[in-house]
Amino acid sequence: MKKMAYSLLILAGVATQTPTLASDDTIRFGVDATYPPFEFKQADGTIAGFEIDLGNAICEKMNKKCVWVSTNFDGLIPSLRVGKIDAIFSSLGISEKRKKVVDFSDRTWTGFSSMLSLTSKNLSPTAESLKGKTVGVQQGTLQEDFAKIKLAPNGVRVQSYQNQDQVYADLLNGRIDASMQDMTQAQVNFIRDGKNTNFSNQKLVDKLLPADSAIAIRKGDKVTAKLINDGIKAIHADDTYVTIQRKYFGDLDLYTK
Amino acid sequence: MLELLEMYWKPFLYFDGYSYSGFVITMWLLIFSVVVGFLISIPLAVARNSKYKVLSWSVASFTIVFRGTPLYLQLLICYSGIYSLTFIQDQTLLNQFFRDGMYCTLLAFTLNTCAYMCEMLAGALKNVSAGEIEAAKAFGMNRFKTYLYIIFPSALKQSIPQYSNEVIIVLHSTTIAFTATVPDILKVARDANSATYMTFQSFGIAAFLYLILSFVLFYLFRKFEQYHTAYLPNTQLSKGLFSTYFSPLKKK
Amino acid sequence: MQDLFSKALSLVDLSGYSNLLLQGTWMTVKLSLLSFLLAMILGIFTALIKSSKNIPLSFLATCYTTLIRGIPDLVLMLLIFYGVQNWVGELTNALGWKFIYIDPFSAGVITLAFIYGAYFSETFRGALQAIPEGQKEASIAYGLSKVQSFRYVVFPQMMRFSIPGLSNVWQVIIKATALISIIGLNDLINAAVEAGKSTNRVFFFLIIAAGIFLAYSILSNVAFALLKKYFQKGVKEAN
Repeated sequence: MKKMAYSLLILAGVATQTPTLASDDTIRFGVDATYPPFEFKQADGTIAGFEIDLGNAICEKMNKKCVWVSTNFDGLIPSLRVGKIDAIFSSLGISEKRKKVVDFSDRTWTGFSSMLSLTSKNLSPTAESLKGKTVGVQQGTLQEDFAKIKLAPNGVRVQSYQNQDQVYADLLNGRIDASMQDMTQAQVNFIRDGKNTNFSNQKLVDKLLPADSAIAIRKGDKVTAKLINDGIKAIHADDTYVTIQRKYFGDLDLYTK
Repeated sequence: MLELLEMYWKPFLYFDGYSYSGFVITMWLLIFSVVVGFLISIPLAVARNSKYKVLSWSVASFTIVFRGTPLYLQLLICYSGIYSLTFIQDQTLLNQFFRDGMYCTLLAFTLNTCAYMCEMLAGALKNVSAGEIEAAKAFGMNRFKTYLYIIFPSALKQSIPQYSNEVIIVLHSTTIAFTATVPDILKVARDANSATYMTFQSFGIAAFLYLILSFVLFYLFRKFEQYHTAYLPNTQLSKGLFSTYFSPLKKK
Repeated sequence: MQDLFSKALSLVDLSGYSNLLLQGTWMTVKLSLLSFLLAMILGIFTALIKSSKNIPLSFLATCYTTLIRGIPDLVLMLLIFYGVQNWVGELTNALGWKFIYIDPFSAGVITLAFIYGAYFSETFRGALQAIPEGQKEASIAYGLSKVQSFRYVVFPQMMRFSIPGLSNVWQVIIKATALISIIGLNDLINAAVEAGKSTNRVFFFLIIAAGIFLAYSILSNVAFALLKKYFQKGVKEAN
């Protein structure tokens, strides 16, 4: 009976695909790879993007190995708290609600939130204009909190999706009238790369939508925090940050305020 | 845990601010798909057993396709796949239909249940004893009357355990409705988890609700079966036998 | 076998996504096979416990099977993937061990094995009861130990009686693997959705995925028919 139980456990362990034990020489970054060009999955399954390159540069400067773990966006913070990952580098905005449960590193980049909608619909990101309409957001994002707290009580319908490309899919086929996400991401991925020029990207400013993003670290994990902050300082000291930024965004500046 | 319950007991049960959600939606999905699927499966089952090969094979191909592919895939096709086709979007009626997540979900669930129920009913119809049918003919009943008074009652009574399986399976399958943005119990649980990070508790409440629902349904079906088969001798349909019948597997 | 499959896929215009689809299909096949085997082991186990005389253990086994019938697959999967992972994490933290990761594949296998082990236990319990009591008594009379009698006398006959139940559960497991795509595994459905999104032909790729599932299901039926023939050697069938 005991033998059966142990052999079952071993079988379960054998069945796992990724290396199962954490090591001191690696930093496990959690990411939701559905947010091009910040993070996305390539055709062969590997993860790539602006934040991936930044993270790899930080690890290089600090002589550590980077491992990228892909999870659903709303599973990132629980995974961090329990130790499955050591840091989150997935366009996480520094909000009060998040600061209560995780620590943040120094600022990595800055970008406002925005609302995407068909220009012909003449919608603006206020509760009055959106009354009776449907707004799509990704579950777990700042924009979802904003929509649920500020818009939903005023008669706006808020629809949460598992990831951002589902939001865009429904935006394109007309199921939702507008969507809310990071402004740079919408501009670069949806309007420019997706060639959806008939959509307008309107900036959204609110107390609930801080513009700064950073890397999230477990509360009290001073070691990793210092490591990452030193890494961030190092990639700004030489040209690494600017080079990577130019690769994805051209002349757009995401760091200087 | 208590704050979670306080915040979310309403959405879990019936209303989340601007639409029905949770328990009410799950029950609606369940009842609609089971009832409509059952009604549609009756003529299909008769067609499945007909002597015209064309009729029987077209129904057979329908059931093979819908029983051979996962329900989640069928839901994806209804929700994301069909709506992405341009000729659907051009037609106003179809556009309105497929645009709404609820209609897509109901369509996928109904067709899936219908396929399984059709096979079940067709098998049961075949198994009605030949003697009863011959007796009906001897009495001068025409085909329709035979079906209505002899064949159907017997077949339906025989397949009550299988139907109860199927209903519980549909209940368990309503959990995937949240992927089509239908606010059922599991969607509320996910929202609760996303807002409060209390994973075990949010999903635990959902599991508990489903558990209660399954047991209530199981109990109701057992009472229903006992009522309708009360005339049979005790050895045939005792409690023990029902429990071995009731395993939520799709019988072929 | 793989070339045949890729040749079949290349007949349809897949615009370079055939590799992704193949990987997804292989992931689904791996998942279903592993869950099936583990569930079978768990099921035999539970069936033996249930038919033994040990009351507290048998009560536990009954609780297990009853609970599984009440909780939907997806809820259990999410509980295990998110909930148990957190719980395991807290446990390993408290004990000072290194963290044990549960990735979507493992969570899927554990969940499916757990759920379908309960269904298997019912099948095997019925099959065990169907074996004539005389067989077990004769094996004891011949001096075979308990383990030997199980392995040489009881088990082959039990397999013969349980083939219809096994094939039913296998069909259900194939379709239940689709749920694991919801927790993020790179299986066939996620591969098809990716391919569809990038090439804007969502409907087409989903139909391809449905076709692959259908083929898988039909092939399994054929395989089980052959298996049935094998286990029925020396037994005359009524029809």
